[in-house]
Amino acid sequence: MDSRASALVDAARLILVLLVILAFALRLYQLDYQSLWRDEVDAVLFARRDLSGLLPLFVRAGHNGPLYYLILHFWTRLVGDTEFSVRFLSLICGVLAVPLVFRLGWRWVGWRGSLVATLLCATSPYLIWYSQEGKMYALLFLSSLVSTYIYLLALDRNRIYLWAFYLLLTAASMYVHLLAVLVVSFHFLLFLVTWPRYRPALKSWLATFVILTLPYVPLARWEVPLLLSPFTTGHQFYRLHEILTVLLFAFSLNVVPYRGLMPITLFVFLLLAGIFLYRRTNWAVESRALRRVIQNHQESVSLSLYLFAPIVSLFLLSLVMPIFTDRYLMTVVPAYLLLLACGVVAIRQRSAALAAACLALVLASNLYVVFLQGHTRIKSDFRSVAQYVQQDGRGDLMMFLIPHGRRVFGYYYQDPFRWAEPPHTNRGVGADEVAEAMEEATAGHDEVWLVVSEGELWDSRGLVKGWLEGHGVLLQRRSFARVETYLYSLESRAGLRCAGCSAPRTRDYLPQDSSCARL
Amino acid sequence: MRKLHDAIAFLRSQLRAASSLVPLIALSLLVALALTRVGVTMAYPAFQSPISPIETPVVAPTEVPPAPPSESPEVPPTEPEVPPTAVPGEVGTPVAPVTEPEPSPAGEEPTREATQTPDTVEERSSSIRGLSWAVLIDTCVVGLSSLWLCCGGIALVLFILGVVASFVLRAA
Repeated sequence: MDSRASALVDAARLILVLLVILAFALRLYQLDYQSLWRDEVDAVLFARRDLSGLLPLFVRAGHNGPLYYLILHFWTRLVGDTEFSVRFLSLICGVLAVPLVFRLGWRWVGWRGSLVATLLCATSPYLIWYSQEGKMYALLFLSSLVSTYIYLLALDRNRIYLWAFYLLLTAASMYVHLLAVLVVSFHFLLFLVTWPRYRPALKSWLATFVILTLPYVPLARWEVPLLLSPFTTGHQFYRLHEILTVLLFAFSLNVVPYRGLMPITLFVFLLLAGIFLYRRTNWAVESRALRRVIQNHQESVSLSLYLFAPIVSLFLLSLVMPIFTDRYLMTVVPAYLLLLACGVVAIRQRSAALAAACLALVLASNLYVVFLQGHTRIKSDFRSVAQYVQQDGRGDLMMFLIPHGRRVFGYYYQDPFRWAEPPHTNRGVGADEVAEAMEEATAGHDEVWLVVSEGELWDSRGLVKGWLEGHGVLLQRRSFARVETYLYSLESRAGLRCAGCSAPRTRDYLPQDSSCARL
Repeated sequence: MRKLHDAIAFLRSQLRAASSLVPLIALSLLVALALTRVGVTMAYPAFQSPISPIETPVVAPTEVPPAPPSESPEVPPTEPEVPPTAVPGEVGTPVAPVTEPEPSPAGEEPTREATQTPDTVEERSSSIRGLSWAVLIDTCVVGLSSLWLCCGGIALVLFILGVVASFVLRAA
């Protein structure tokens, strides 16, 4: 290695260290700002189980991510299960992924592209969001990234221990999330597309893919019958172009409602430049035209496969059973970032100023969205609800729409509380049945809290709230992020409506109709 | 003055170089325009996950198949709250969504959780065994047709790409 190359490597390493520190800082910033939402609390409750309750999940039908819950179990035993500590596990995974993106990028797109991709990874609002969430997605990102990196090493070096390590990691990924298996479609296709580059590894490759089916058998045992059944998941069906749109917005701008044309144009521009303009290898291979195109653009072809093969696989799966959610495709984010980086490098080859401007704009967009994520209540704010109800002190019964909110509320509300489950009216329950169920549920209670979050998933016709309004007096109402709270008095269940306007009376209304504000 | 002249020359050269990217910029703008018109992102439920089948007919508890591979397939057993005052099973006793709890271990809320949990593993298994052959064959046929169509689409795209690439390379 000459002195210039050596200096470059040293500089790249130094920048990498700085980027890892930046990634850590951005992920630590406002780590517990958002309240835990229901899936995170479920993860915490799973982790609180003992091993005899956790281990059977590995073979039980319908369970996703048992390995994550197992890891979280040991983690929370070590550091507790506060919001900060639960999310810190994801933070560690998110930060560890940053140098891995660098290593992966170095193999595919050289040091310059690799550093750009690492910078994008460190500041990506999407990755920061999931590095601050107490769920399995940061771990899924990390495990699939390691799996892909080891796979490339195994293809290159063709060592048994590397193939074994790949097998282990890929199998573990499947138990971190069911759909981690989608990235295997990319691994499979990469070998075929780059043929005959990895010809010496053919036997090991074949053996590995055969063995790889074994750890999948316990999952396939219940997944295949489920796929063939008429069961519906609750996920909406998305067409392929809709999936691509959702992913583009999610990976670029995440969940913040920031939907202007210009920022997304910039990301599309870089992505297209990465796919069509980037060219690193410069081989003059005398072969058929298509193969020469693939070989000359091997990096962008490989990265495009990495990005699109799992997406198309998920779409095909969705034709049988709608299952699409952007985070299930967390495994393809490295490809997206590397292609953006390729785009920056390809533009730089034409105009350095334009490339610098594009990169600066992307960074500005990333940091802006990260700032918004850290200063806007986006997840359902049950933490504030619990504080509010506790401070208010009134109410002797809690009702939650949807009932899953009870678990999140219970996480934050430390004291015991009484609760009742409202009827699931979306299952075709009528008004009479609702009335009967509500009468029974609220019998003996004078003041009832109704906590509504995602209520349309449980009671889209508003029958439960309607019953409370018709049979009680609304004492107060307060809105939080994605959660509404209502306190009703049921002390007198007759004559509760204002005779003048037939609106439900509130405590502010005097018994005489003339005092009603609506008159 | 000379510096200004150099800066203008630099900008000119950059603009000339960047002009080759104009078609790609225009294409990006068109793609972004098309994507922002799709409108799916506004209705998309962001990071949330569904809790149960939406707008599906009532399914008897014993017919509920296994839970979907969502993040929270069932309620873990540890519950800090006191049980509700209502008699277990009185309140609604809804057909529980697939994310509902499984019977809790000994000592933790023994009755209520169990009564509200129709979709136990055994019931799930029985629903799979009771799968209609007609539905199975129908699903297979539809799946194979979709796969066939998709393969055809991919083959067509590859063919077009191959033709274009051969022309480009011949010209080069």
